[in-house]
Formats: sequence, structure tokens, C-alpha cells
Amino acid sequence: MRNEVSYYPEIQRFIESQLTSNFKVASKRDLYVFWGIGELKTNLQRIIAEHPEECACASDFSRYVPPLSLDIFALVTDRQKFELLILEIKLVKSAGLSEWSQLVGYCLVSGAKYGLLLNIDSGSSPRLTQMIQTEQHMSHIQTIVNGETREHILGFMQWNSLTHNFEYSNLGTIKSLSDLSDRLVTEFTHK
Amino acid sequence: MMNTDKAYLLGLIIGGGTFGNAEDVFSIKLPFKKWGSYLDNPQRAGQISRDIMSVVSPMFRNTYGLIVSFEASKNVWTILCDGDTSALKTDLQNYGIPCDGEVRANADISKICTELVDDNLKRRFIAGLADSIGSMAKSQRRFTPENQILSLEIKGYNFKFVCDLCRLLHSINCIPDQVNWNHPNIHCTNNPYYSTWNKGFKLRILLDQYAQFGAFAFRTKAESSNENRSLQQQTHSALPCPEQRMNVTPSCIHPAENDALLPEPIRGGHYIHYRHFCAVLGCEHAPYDKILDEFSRLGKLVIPFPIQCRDSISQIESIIANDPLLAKRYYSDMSINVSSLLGQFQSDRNALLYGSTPENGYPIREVLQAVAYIIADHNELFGKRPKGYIEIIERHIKNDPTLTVAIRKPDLLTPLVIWGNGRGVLVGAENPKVYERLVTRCPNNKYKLQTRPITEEDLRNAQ
Repeated sequence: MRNEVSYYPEIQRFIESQLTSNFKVASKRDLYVFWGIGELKTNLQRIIAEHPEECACASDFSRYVPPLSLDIFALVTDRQKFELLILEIKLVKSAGLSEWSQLVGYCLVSGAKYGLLLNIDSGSSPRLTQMIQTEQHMSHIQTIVNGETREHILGFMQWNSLTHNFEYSNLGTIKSLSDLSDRLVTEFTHK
Repeated sequence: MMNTDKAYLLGLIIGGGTFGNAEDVFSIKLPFKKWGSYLDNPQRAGQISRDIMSVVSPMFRNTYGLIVSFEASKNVWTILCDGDTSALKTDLQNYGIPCDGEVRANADISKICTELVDDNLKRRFIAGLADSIGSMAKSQRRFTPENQILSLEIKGYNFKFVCDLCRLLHSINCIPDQVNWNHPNIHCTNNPYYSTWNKGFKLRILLDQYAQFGAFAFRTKAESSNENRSLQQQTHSALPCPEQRMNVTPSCIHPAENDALLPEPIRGGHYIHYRHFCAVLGCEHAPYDKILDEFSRLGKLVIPFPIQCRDSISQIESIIANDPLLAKRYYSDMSINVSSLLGQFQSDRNALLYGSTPENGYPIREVLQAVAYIIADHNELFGKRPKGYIEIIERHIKNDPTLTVAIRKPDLLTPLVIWGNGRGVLVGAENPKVYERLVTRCPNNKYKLQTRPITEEDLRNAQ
């Protein structure tokens, strides 16, 4: 019986491939995706130390981000700008409000702009489905921290471990990986 | 702008998309036949409907704002996409894909391919095609269950599309095992009177190769792939095109080589092997040297008569009556002992009968197959094909060692007529010195062969 951690590599590979492909088509430039599993701050500093050319833009952020234990996150950068993508990966019968709340909490604390709740081979609970469908602000959260406006954009997807592919649920503001790619392209190509 | 989801949807649309007159709907036909039949396999049918609704539906909604539903008939599943199709049509038109009728019939994927800038995008596009037109039915294997195949089944006459797709597969190391072109030299190599030659293209890839480098988004397809691969004892990998062996066997000149349905670069040509098409189409992976080597023995490979045409005797008589070269012949009627023919075959499997020189005559192997068809009981035939011709002959001469068949031998080396039991067979002769004079190379493509009909003069001059 596999546990959820054993799915991380295939999910990482898939997300990275889709984001880098889409970015390359749209902006004719390379996008870099670096993964960290576990504690955010230490991993972020390790990634920056290992890839200084690509990740120097995240140095300041890594200094003030609080220590935080996560399932898995990605530092996504085009060398000039960066964003954090947090993945909350579950292997449960149906992902519910508590899993969603976990993702929201991680994004708020870390300041990550993008978050995905991923359930392996299963969908979401009816209550979560209804809530995300009707309450748009649950997947597009704006906060003001020290006078600075922050945005947290979230989505829910199902990982198919047989096809190694996402099945989109249309739940949340991030509807698909292409949608997430478009947002990154827009953000990284506009000053 | 291309993206990974669009690449998948474009593959699906090009594989099975059809545009009709309605502005707000188009459909994608999934020709799943018996494999996806809800009567034969209700469990799989349930999974297919889940695949459509959980994979295709959200992707169409996110990408083009279209609402997906589906219909299932016995052999075909149809995905219906409703809504404002203008964004999708604009995308297709920008890629040079006409939104009219069956998309794959006229699709040129070269513009799409230029936007598939990395292996991942290519894989997504190919996954769309494999989910729609990739067949993994039980019959998709090479000789035995040990070599399982994914066959991309493409209707129509779009040779360039198939060639471009094959190149695309190559570029991700998903090297096709074989391409069955939609051409009479592929689908009816033995019988020029067989008119239903247009059975479509089949781009066949070893399933192991596809599993390693390709992709599926449909769970049902991935499951079938795993099931079929589990029938194999070993893992198989494909050889790059230039390293693949080429076994060229004789094929007859077919009148449909000039069919108006064939595109100009192909029409009017005779093709000695499936990879000969690749050379004529200019594919960089074609085995040009091997093809040119084979051109040195064209008289043995290009046959202007049926190699074997099996039918009812009345149909065979009608064929002879309608061909002046055959009708004008003087035929000697003979009755030949089947045991003696078998003995001749056993002493020399390559013997030629009734020739005028040691190099020409009717191949004993073909004659025996014809004899088997003539003497076979109904249950010994698959349609017009004898089930194991030597075994049939041995069984029948065991019952009757004096068994004979009637043969009509023409005065020139036009086809031999073997008949009896209400059936008839035309067997063409080997006559390489005469036949090689019928073949020339096309002036504007040195790999394209052109043939002319054989005349009585050709045959007389050979005497």
C-alpha cells in the first residue's frame, strides 16, 4: 500500500513539466521550478544556495519567511521574479474542509500566492465542493499585511495515479495547470 | 497560444473531431468498436463515460468554455461539445486546420507541431490522439501476444498528416513499428481485382515503446495498455528506422494506384514496401539506400497480374472476359494430380511451373494455395482464405490419392486458371525480365516508381 509521500515525485514531475512547457510557449523563456519537501524556510535557503543564479530574487523573502512545516512546495522563478506554490497532497476518500483549511493556513502564514489541494485518485467532499463553488473568496483570498496587499489563489485537483495526469475539478480559482501557467506568465512578463 | 491542455484537446479533436453546420456544437467520435462496447464490456463502458466527464469535460470547459456531454452507440462513442465554438475555431484556423467535416481528413499538423516546443507538449498532443483513435483491441499485436501494439487508426487519404505524425512520434523516441498506409499496395498486394482497398491508415507502435515515451489521459486506455503488456514475457523496444530490417515481397500493380482520392505525391506510384512511402514523402527517417537497393530487382517485386485472385468460377470467367489480354489467350485444359504437385513442392519450394525459361513460370507455392482453395471444404476456409493450405491438401489426398484439379494454361504467361467446386483462381507468373521493363522512375522524384500496363507484345518478346 503506497502512502501519499510516495506519490510526490510523479506529481512534482508532472506539475513542473506543464508549467515549464507552457511558460516556454508563451514567453519563449525558461521557467525554473525548485522543490522542497518539509520545512519551508530551511528548504528555501538550501534551494537558493544551490541555485543562486536562478533564485537570488527570493533571498530577501527567505530571510523573513517564518519556519513552517509543509508537505511540499515549489519555488517558481524566471530568475527575475519568483512565486511560491504550496501543494497539500492527500490520499483520502474525499478531501474536505479541514484539508482545504490546512492549505489556506499554510498560504496565509508563508505568504505563498498559489496553493493547490491535491487528492490522489479521489475527489472532494460534497460540502467542500459546494462551499468552494458558492464562496469564491475561499479560493481567492486577499489580505493586508503590514499595509501590503497579498493575494492567495487556490485550487483543487485530483491526481490520477494510473495515467499520471490531473483530472481538473473546476473547484477553486486555479482551474487547471494551464490556468496557473497563464497567471505566472502574466505576472512574470509584466513589470 | 498553445498550452499543455490545448495540446491534449487538439490531439483529441484532430483524432476524432467533426464539424457540421451548427455553429454552437461539434462532436468528437471515438471509434472504440468492440473494445468500448457497452454490450460487450459494460464495466469498461462505465469507465469511458467517467473518463469523458472527468478528463475531457473540465478541460474543454476551462479552455474553451464548452459544455461536454456524450452519446454511446454500439461501436462509437461521441463527445458532444456545446457552446460558443468560435474560440476553438479561431485556434484551429490559426493552426491551418479547416473546421469543416471530419477534421483529420484535411488536417495539416505541421503548424501545430512547430508550437509543440518540447517533448511534454508533444506527448500531450499524442495522448489526445491515442485516447481518441488509439486502438488496443486484442487483434493489435505483431504475430503473437508477445508483441503488443497500439495502433493509431486514421481514416481518409491524408498521407502528409500520417507522415507528420510519425515524425512527431519519432521526435519523442516513440518509434513506430509499422505504418500501414491507406493504399492498395499495402491493403491488397495480391489481387488487383479486390476493390475495397481503402481500409485506412494504421500507425502501429509497440506498446512497450508507447508506455515508456507516450501517454494516455483516459484511465480505460492506460488500463488496457497495462493488461495487454502483461501478456508479454519480455519488454520490447523499437529500433530506429534506419536500423529496422526491410523484408520486401512481390506485390501486384493495382488499378487504384491511380485513384483520384490519393494525393498527388502518392497517386500514380507503385510502392514495394510501407517504408517506400516514407522515402517518396521525403521523411528524414526513410531508409533511402535500402529502397534504392531493392530497385535492382524490381522485375521480381512488381507483378502486373494478380499474384493470386480467388473467387467463384463465374467471377473469374468474367474477369478474363473483360481483360482483352487474358480473353485473347488460347488455353490448354489440363487435369493435374494434386499429390504430384505436392511432391514437386516438397522437392523444391521455389519451383516455377510451365515457364518458357528457368527464370519464369507459375510459383508452385501459389499454385498449391490455389489448389487448396479449390478443393477445401467450407469449414476449411476463412472467407476466401484456406486455413493452412498444406494441411488441407494433405487431408484431401489422404482421402483420395488420385485427386486432381482442372487447370487452364494460357499460351503466354498470363495468369494460370485453376478451377473446380464452383470456385476459380487466377495465379500470376513470375517473369522478372519482362516485368522490369514496365517500371520507370518518376522524373521529379527518384524514389517514386511508375508502372505501365503489360501488353501482349511484352510477353511475346520475352519468348
